[in-house]
Amino acid sequence: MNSQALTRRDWLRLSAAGMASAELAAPAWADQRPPRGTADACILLWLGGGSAQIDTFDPKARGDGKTKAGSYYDAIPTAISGANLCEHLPRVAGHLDKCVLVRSLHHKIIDEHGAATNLLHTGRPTSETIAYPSLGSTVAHERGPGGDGIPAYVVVGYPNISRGPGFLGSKFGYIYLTDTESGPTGLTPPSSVAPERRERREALLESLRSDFHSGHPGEAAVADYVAASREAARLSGPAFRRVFRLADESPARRAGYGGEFGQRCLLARRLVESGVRFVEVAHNLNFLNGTGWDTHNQGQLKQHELIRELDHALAALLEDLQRVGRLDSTLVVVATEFGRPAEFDSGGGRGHQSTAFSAVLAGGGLKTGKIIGATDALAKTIVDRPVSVPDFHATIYAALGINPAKELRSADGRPVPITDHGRPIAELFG
Amino acid sequence: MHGIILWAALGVMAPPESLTTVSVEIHESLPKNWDWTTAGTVNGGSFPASAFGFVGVPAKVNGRGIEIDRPGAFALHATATIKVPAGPYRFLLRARNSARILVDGTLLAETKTLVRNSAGHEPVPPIQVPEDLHWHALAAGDQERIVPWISDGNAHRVEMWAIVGGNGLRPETGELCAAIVRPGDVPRLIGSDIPLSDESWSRYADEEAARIVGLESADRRRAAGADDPFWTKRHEIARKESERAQAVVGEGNLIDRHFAAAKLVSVDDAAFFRRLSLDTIGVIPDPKEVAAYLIDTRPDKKARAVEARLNDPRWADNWMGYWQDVLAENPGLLKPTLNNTGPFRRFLYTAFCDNLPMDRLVSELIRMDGSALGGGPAGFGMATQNDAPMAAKAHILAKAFLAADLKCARCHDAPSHPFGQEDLFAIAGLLDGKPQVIPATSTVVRQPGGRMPTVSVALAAGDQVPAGWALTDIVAESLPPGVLPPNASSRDHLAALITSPTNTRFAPVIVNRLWHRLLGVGLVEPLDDWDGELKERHPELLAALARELMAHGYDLKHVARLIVNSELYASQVGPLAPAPSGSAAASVSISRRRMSAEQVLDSMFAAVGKPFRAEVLCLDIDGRRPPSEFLNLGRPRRAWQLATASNERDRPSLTLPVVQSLTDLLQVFGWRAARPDPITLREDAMTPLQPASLANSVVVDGRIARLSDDSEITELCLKKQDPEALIRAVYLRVFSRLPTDAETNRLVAYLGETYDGRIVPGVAKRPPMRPSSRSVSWSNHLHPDATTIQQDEERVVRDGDPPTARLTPQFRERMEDVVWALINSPEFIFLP
Repeated sequence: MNSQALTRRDWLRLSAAGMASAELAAPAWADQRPPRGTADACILLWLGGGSAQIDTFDPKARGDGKTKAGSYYDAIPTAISGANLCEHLPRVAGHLDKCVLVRSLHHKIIDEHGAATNLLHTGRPTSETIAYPSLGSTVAHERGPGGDGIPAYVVVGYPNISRGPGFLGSKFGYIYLTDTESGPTGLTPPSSVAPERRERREALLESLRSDFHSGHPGEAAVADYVAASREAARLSGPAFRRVFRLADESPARRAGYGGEFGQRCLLARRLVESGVRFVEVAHNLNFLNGTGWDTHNQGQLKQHELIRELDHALAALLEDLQRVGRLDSTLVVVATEFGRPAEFDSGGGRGHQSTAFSAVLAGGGLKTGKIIGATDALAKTIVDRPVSVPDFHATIYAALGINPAKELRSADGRPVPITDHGRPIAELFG
Repeated sequence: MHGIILWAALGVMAPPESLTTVSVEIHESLPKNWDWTTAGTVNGGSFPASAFGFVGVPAKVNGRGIEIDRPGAFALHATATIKVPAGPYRFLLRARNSARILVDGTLLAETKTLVRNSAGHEPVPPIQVPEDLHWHALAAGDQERIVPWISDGNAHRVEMWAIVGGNGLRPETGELCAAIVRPGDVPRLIGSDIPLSDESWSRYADEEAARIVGLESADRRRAAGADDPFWTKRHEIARKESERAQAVVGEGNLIDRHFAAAKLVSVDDAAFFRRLSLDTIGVIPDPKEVAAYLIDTRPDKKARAVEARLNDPRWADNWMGYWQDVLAENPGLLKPTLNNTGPFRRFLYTAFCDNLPMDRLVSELIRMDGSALGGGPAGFGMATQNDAPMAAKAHILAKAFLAADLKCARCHDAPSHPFGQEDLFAIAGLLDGKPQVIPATSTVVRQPGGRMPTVSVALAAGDQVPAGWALTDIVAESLPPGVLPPNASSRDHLAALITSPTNTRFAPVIVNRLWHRLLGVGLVEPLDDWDGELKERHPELLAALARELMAHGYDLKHVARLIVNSELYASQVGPLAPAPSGSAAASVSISRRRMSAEQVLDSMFAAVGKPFRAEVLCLDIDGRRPPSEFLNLGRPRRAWQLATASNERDRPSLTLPVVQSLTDLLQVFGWRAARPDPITLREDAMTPLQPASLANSVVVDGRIARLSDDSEITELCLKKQDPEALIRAVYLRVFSRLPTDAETNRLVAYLGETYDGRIVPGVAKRPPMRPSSRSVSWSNHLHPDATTIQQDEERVVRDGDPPTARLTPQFRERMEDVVWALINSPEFIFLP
């Protein structure tokens, strides 16, 4: 066995030169200097379930909800001349000059939520050889938190695999909260424990901890854990917790954002102000219409309520970011895992469509007021300027000053470009 | 209590043989339009049940003891004779699917055929209040029929028929049962006097589930016995092969002989026992066992403790998380499309329960037989939405058992390893039994304007690679006689190549993995990639241990026994005292290890004696969808049995709040919610979220520390003893040791004057509220009520366990602080 192992290692030594060249080679097109934006934070509003582009950001001629394919609503003009939105997005329509509409997103992943959600978050199909990081984790990795004692990446919604850090490791994972009442999981001291009791038991713990620490001198693992405990106390301390106190905002402002989803958007603004780099806000409180954005069958009937809620909260967020002077430095992204066909299913709803769907980019220092891409009369086939998921991600990274072609290293040293050959949408920069 | 008296007065008679068991027959391959009465011979086996109450059906096994799916729907047929005094009664039938109850051949009641559902828009069924609150509530998705019946006082034959599975449904029974009701009494399961009350059903269900596990083990081991002669011969070949290696001569533990020059200082008994327990059964020891060990004065008590631990069935639990990572076990609860496998955790668990020799375990894994979605090795063969599943599996197997990392070869010839893409796809061909076509994604393409790939790509998408074996310097393609089973398939061939006694890597890779798990450092590192830069320690010891494994029939416990019985294993953490120059011992140290995520969670629940009380791991609890879309992983008992509740859908109605709280905690300690890729070592970085989660998680604050009526700590607090004794008992529970006087005094002082008068007299213990009955399932999760119900449930779970009223709040809070602080102390999570 040994002689054979040696043979293998000899082989390695022989190929060491080749290996070095593999590691050192930079992507040739990196020299083309992908554009770099100036945003320093990103808020992703995630329309889980697959929002229907034809009923929101890419309206077409009306269908009848049964056999005649088409939009379910009328279209209205917007702040971009010649561009229409669905009638249930009136407030966003007024702010469309601060936005870029991308109407030509597409992918070929199976029309299933899990796989498509994963693709839209990581930019790649799943693989058995590596776990790819999410947008949020990559931004956390590249930009780090914007303040002391602040996490870089927060999810307001349910934790899932697609939002995870993949090979970047848990250090670049997210803090999450499922609703704005409850505070971030793991960092929010239980409300049932009164402050004086909390202090008292912390002191008791500190005595146990320091006994253990001093009883194990020179042990790095123990010292690291004790240090992590101190950092934990800071993260769950009053400074960061204050960010979650929405009651500190004026009642009028809170009301301006609307219901729970709006409050999540308000919280996102506060998080960004505190130094969080990437906030993902989930918008799928499915009790509004039953299905959330996954509008099969009767989910279609009250879809307009969902759209209106988005309109209200997104417009409030853009206005508020502008008010606090952070719209140019905060990229707001509205995205979903796929779109929906112009045709109606037997229950009057819509199935899944990944051949063409829409997303929105707003603020972030981009050259806004543009429509990127176009689809045919049924919003089914892209007729102009297709934007791939890697291109879309590259645009987000570039807006945040991150080179989308940069190669990250997996734990075992494999070079992995941030995007899979994504090219930023050039006309939004410079 | 008074139910039993009533029942005795009722005088239900059963024939003597059915006093203890009801015989149940399984009829498979039912003909179309089966009319219930003409079922053929019993072709699906039979099994004894305690009564007309079912929580499952024993798994079917193949000729080698591997669990397989029954073909389509099957019918259960149970019979019993009852004799009750004349008078009016009612029969009760509960079933998820079509079922019937007959008396003397006359149909009394029947339920409807289960209708599949995919839309999710059904109304949420109201929580059914049975006519008498003492009756066990009807489970979600089950139907109930209650019909009158008059007894003439004579004996009568009662039969129950029930359809299970089929039509693409999971073969689950729901809470299938039939009972007889006398006016004013709770229903009694037919064939027994077991009342159908919540408490009694819950106990019965647990007992039946355990009994089924016993039946399954016996069936499995009996069937597997048919393969024993083959393996006995294989192990004889291995023993002879092992003798070719240099024998280690001398007396005593071979590891201690190897480290004879090192100056070892042992940890104390309590520390040893805790370390041993975590390393063998994956959980801190029971306080009674610690106490018994501490007072044991027999000279061989250590060896006795080791033997008991190795034979403890929890040995299997402790290996699960490890192999789930290494073999990328990745089941998804809901429409899995993220490179998901089947839940072959079940195969692994039973294999470790049966202490299957490692070569045999790995061979069965590679054969990928049995039930794919029900937990058999076929589930290892699955890789949803993966365009080259067998290449994925070849990569996992080579890394796990040969420390050959062919990862790069998925897409190109490995730049830093001696493997070409062809090598990987040739092995994939052996797994698939046919040549493999390189898929379009498995290549490196220069993008327009992109850089030239710096890796070499010998194959193009669409190229065909014939099945074959190229890793010939690990094991030669020709195998010694007796290593291949008769009529070997190409998978058998691959299994034999990987596990052959002539394979130079299999045994050392396995023992090196074991050594690393027990001592925190590998004799060779990295553990799963031996073709790159290696750190090697004591190669002659590795060879000796590999030889031991081979000479002892690939019994992992044999080598584990050698290691944990050694002086080295019992040594204090730290560098070993410098050995005389020239000794190999200088390069080994005992490292401080942290509990694994699973050990943290299991140990904290063990410390306070609470079960998880988590939801059943299923989002289709009424069984309306096929297993390919919805798995049911059961109610978790140990941490490894958990799975992520995440489903990329963000729907509040699809949450499992208790499961979420548990997996949140697991995840910060390195457990992976998704395992699309195989890993050997988890991240071991200390992150602030670890102590923060222990401090703030509802699991610790609201459950472990909470003195609820189901906490063992609550019971300790209610004992008449001085506060010092209480603190000692709690230390023993949480830290597996007795406290020093100073430690005792500190905590006694913390309790202060709340201790006296802590007990509130006259307050009864309340039964636990959880697990609560669920009504939200996929079939109704889009209904507005489903969201409201689950959001309320999330809030309730966030509040934690209800505190006991048997202790004063003043004392209770102080004592909860004590438990909270102990669990949060680094002493809890670091192995001694």
